[in-house]
Amino acid sequence: MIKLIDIDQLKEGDILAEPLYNVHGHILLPANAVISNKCLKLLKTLNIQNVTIKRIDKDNQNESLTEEEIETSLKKLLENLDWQPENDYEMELLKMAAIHKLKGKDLE
Amino acid sequence: MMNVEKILENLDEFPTLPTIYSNLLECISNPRSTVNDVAQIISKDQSAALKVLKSVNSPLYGVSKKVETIKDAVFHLGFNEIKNLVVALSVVSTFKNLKPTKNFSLLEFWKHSVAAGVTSKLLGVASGEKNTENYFLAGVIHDIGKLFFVQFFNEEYDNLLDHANQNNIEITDAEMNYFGINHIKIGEKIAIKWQLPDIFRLVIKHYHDLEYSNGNSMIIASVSLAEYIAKLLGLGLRNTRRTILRPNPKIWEVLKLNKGQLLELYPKIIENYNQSIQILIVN
Repeated sequence: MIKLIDIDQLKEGDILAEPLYNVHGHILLPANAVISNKCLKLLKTLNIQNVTIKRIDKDNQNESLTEEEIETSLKKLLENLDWQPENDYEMELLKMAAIHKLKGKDLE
Repeated sequence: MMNVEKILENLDEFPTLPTIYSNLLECISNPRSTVNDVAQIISKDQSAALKVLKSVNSPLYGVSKKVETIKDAVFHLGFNEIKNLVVALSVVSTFKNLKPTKNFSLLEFWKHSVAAGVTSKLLGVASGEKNTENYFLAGVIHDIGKLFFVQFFNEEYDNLLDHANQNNIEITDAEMNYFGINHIKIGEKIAIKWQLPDIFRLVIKHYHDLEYSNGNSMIIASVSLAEYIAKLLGLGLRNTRRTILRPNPKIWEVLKLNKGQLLELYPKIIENYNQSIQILIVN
């Protein structure tokens, strides 16, 4: 999974998903560069604010979800609501949230 | 409560959009301007030009063949949409150095705003709206008023957010209680200051309450639902309230989506969101 993070969250050993450019458009680090401690300090002094890194996604294997998985996730969501869906649109929104939770596509 | 007039005096100091925008505005308002003229203005700003090209080639704009030049980008998007894209890019870069607070992350704010932008556009298209050139920008700037508070009342606003989060209070209510004015009203004033077309002010004003005149209902309902979906999926700023609220039912009357359409949009929302945050937010 590709994840956009604040420079403060970048750790030694993280892998860049995309090349990192300076303000003039020059490449500072190529894609797939592994962040070293030295890099980390350098990027902070250059006032780089956010970077895109690759993170192993535990749900990555689970691209095609089964109906059963979605139903279970939806049921859990519905249990925590203080209202219940009254039309197809509301149901679809909640199903979307249930799928999103399972897929782990959330970039946060 | 603070003195609202005093608070509003700060608007004079609130950033204006970069000159590329005023140059574009002037150029586009001249009926004799050509695609070349517009392309020339954008090309002068290297970083904007690069981002414009990346954006036009992203799925958000649905251009089927690869766009290689700014001139082509202007040709494919048209004057208004390219101007809106430049505004969206400019707004993000204008506030790059805004001081974040413990409870307000600029990155999360923009992620939420971009999610609302791409989703608004997708909803507009899904609802059958032919002209969706304002939808992306409208979503991106719907919460712009919050940046005013972060800029001028950094510490107070941080405390306010903390208080609202702890006590499960709507941020707009907390703002009204403390400042006597909320980010929606401030956002409207920013839209005027930036000389954006009035539709953007109307979206900022009404996406919360959906009380609006007929002609603009589609874009307002789209931004409203897009904002809801961004919160629901946790794209960027999370819903500070612990519970998921029911969406405003007026949305469905306006958008008239078909059964299954919302769910079909989900993968597109995620794809567009991922690509757009890379283009707009990354240095």
